[in-house]
Amino acid sequence: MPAARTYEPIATYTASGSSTTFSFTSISSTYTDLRLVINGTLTSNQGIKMRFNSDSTSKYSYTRMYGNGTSAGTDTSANRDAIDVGYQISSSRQMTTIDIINANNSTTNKVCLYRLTATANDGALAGVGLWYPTTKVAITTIDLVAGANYVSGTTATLYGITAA
Amino acid sequence: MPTPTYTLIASSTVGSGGASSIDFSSIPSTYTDLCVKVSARRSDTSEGYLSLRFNANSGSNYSNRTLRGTGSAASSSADNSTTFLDFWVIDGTGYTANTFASTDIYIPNYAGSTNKSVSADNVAEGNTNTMYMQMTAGIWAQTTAINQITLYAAGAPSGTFAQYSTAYLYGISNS
Repeated sequence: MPAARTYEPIATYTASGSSTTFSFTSISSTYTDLRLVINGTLTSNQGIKMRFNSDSTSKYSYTRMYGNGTSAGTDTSANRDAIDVGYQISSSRQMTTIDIINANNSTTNKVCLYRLTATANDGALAGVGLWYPTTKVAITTIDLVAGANYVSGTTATLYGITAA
Repeated sequence: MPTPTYTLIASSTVGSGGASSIDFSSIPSTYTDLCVKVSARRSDTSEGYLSLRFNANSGSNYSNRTLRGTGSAASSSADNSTTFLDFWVIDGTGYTANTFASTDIYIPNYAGSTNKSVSADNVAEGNTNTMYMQMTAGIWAQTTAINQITLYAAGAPSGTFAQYSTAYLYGISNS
């Protein structure tokens, strides 16, 4: 019997240019960690917010550091309704990677590490996000909600990583 | 049998004579993203950049934003319209012996018809006061598919990869 893959694509979406959201639903409970890769941009300069399990209550926080080409900075925010994973510049393609560690358990809050790679505005950005719902659950849905339409051809891919 | 998601395409290990560059050519277009993992040291005394070109393109088509930490200060810089994509730093012989810098380079949608984003992490640690870690956001402003990646031990002056430096090129498939 062939061994199960450690790193497996779950789903990939390509934007048509008329949607502000990528939604990954019914995520299997067989994965230990999850990884998202987004490549492209938005039709206007806006940010992307990430939510888990359709939770839009104030149960998210983040801390970020960034280099904009001139100076290095850091910021933090608590009690948010989503994790802000970075500001997109419409004139340039960006890449965002998000690693969600230990996504499939019902005992812990969920931590993610994310990176935005852009040659404008926030530039090189790294962040840590936290989702702390009252009831701890496995992640089964991820929504990437943008403030503007994803440019046609922008892709978002979800990978699952298994520990055994 | 399912298609592997993460596949080794090619590898390179620098021999006893050193090397001025490491080249991956004829990269197939069948993957979604590419990942290059580098462990490198210079044969030169001074430290220097790990530099990269795509498709042997030497035009002023590379730009980046960086975030760098030295353990005592954080800084950011930008380069626009340069002829290399540079990542700081590779250790030289003046650094802690037998220690190599690590760089992880990710290139999404490398075979697409848009400009190419590049994300890189570079770290050089030697248990001394001045070492570096750097995040780089880069772009190659060309819309052709990437079929070649060349790494250089560049800097001022341009240098040589030391023996035992390695580079591994992986293809990542999203289906």
